[in-house]
Amino acid sequence: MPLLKDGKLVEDSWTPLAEGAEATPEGGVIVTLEQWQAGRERLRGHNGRLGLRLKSDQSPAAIADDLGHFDLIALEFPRFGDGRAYSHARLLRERYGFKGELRAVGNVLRDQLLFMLRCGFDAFEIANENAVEAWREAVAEIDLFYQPTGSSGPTLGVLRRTAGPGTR
Amino acid sequence: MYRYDEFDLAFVKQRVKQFRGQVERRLSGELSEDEFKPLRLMNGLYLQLHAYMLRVAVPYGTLSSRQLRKLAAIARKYDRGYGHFTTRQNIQYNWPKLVDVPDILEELATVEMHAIQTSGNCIRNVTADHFAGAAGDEIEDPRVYGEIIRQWSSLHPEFSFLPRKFKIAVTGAPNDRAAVRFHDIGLQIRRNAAGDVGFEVIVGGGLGRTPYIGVTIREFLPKQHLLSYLEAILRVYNQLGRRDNIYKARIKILVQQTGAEAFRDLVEDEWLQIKDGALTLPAEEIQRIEAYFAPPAFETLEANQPAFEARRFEDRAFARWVRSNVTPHKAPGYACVTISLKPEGEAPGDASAEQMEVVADLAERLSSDEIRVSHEQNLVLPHVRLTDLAEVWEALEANGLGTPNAGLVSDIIACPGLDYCNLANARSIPVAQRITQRFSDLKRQHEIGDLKIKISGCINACGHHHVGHIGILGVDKKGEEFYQITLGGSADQNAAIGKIIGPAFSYDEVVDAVDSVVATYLEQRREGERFNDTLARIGHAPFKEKLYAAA
Amino acid sequence: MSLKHTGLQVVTANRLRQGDVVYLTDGGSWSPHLNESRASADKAVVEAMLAKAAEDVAARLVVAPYAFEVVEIDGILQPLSTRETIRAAGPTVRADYRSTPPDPKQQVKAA
Repeated sequence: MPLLKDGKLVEDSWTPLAEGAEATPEGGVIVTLEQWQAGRERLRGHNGRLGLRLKSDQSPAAIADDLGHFDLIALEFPRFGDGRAYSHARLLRERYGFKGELRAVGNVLRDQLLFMLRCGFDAFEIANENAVEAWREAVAEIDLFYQPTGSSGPTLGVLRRTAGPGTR
Repeated sequence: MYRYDEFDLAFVKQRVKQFRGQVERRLSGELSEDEFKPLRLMNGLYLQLHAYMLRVAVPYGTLSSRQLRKLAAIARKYDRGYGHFTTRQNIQYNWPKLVDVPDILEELATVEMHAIQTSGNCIRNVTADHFAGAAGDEIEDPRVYGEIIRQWSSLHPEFSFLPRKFKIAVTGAPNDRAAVRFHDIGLQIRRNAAGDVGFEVIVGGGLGRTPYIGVTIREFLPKQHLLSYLEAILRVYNQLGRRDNIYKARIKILVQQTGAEAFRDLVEDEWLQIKDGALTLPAEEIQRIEAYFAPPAFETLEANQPAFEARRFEDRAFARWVRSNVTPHKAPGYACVTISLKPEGEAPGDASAEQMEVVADLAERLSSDEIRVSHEQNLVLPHVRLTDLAEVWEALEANGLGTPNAGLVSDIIACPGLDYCNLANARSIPVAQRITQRFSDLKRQHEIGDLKIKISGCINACGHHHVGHIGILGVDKKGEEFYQITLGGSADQNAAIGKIIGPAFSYDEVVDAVDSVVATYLEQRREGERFNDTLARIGHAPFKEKLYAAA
Repeated sequence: MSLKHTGLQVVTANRLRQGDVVYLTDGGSWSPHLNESRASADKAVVEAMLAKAAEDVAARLVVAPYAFEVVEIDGILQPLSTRETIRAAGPTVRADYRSTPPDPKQQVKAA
């Protein structure tokens, strides 16, 4: 799957940890919540970077204390209509202070990119061939927002936001 | 009323352009119907039985004459010359073409209107008391908060893919004319002991397959916390609402299954994390919005207007209309006019383009340029001088808008039903039409007094039948249209869900059944007793007896 | 779309661009008139009609196709369900709300 990050298609340098695998590969490896919970001690000793993939019904509250171990968190969108990960993303960024790569995986359509960006995602597995063009159009389409997201602190007066780069 | 500033206008224009692009990508094949459907729903565009249907938002039911004229023009140019006003204070067009919809949205944008989020699993139009700003029992105008919530909820990135639709209503008076106890979130403006104004927050009300009366999770929420509190509720719902079964996905199910206390704890825990943050409403922001809803400069008038009184005395038809369709106003010498869209034999809530223009003219000249849409599918002129009432009435009468039946038995709420809607099991409009014909004697209607009949063509209850004094639910029995009757519902502060009276009636029998119920009421009522009072006193038995008496 | 009935079926859809109701004809085109539609009790034929409809969905002509049952009375096709009767004739509530001019050959089940 092509990976869109910072408006460009990039190589995905991460590998999912195979089911039941013992030795962790070198480099960046993504584990599921179940794998993490089953093999926490061992995984913490992993040489390379660690990533975590959460299903839409897995709240980030479960790993809030472990965030320091992860450079990447991937949140699943199993269906277009399953919007739980938007809340999970905001919690990761704004409540738990996660600063690593926050990746949207699964059913990611161009028309969701702007919503996802505003909730704190910065990487997207996107199926569209013209991903970069789609991205550019999608983020340029609307640059005015009525709600604050991100940790922008108390507002004075107006709630509204005008977009800047990486806007929230 | 609220006027778009540059920001609002630019926002809507961007959204129109975005949707135009989405339609183009649909027509070019880049987007499949499955991918396009959620996008078109977020712009209020349905595919119904006969055609597409476009639902245009009328925020908290408030329109200017300019806006109403544009709605009329759209009906004429892009539709079949009429529109339908809904139980959520919106307007629906039943025959737009997909290829025209971007142009329709662009025209709406020129009068500060749109169709954003009138469908889909997102936060829908915020509804409010249709007498807001005019009613004497009002603490504060609820539309101020309707506008604040509207802005906050527009294309909210976290809450655009909820488990299901989300409906919010606000009322500013203790007499609840916005049915707040039957919404996902209902807000009742209250004063606390110290005299501060805030909100009672009610969650988990709703109709549909499983009707529930909402639960108060907070007795008093200070104004500045309104948005942070709503955000906490929505965040809990977005994460925990069911995603596996659309019939169990509303917040009312979550509240019931979690338990009211536990649900409140979840919300309050989340809220503690975000209160006093970026969503806190500064007093200046509230005042800025309040300024838009400042009442028009009412003249100082006497409460008693001799010319009006004289006309009322001489003209019985006028007097009858005043009795049912004119409501007292907080400013002496003024009144609220309910324009009935329920003439005998017509489809409830429909208005032709010509009728809309007549109303727009009257509003501009005689009602401070304001019109309201009520959730009972009528229109309202909120600020009419008593001395202008006769002129208003004559114009309404001449255009099929003067039926003196507001709140009476022929002022029926009906969903579009099987005549229009893909989801329906039975027709509702013809049942409403036939009931109005049965009760065409206006004298009889006025004798019967306040009686709310509500008809839904399927279990989704868009006709609000659960909260009708007499509720009628269309069902499909072996391919035939049958109708269940419920009694005793109420949407106001005495919230109640109607109870089924007995076996269902056929399409041919249902009007006789309604007649029978009304007859029982008339026979049994005591002085001053309204329908629900009599029902509470005598119970179902006398009604059942007459209804199911051996033919 | 499983075909449980053994009776006569037709295939209907809505035109993508306009939204109006149409029926699949013998020639493979789409007509606003129910009575011009191809009706068949042969399961394989109906499946082929649905396949043609699916092609036309992909070609962006129509949306939401499906089959429904009709009966033929004196050479006129009539839907079995009230829903399809109303869908064919327009809302019962006002004659001027019909989406296409009434087909003189079309007899609609009385309301």
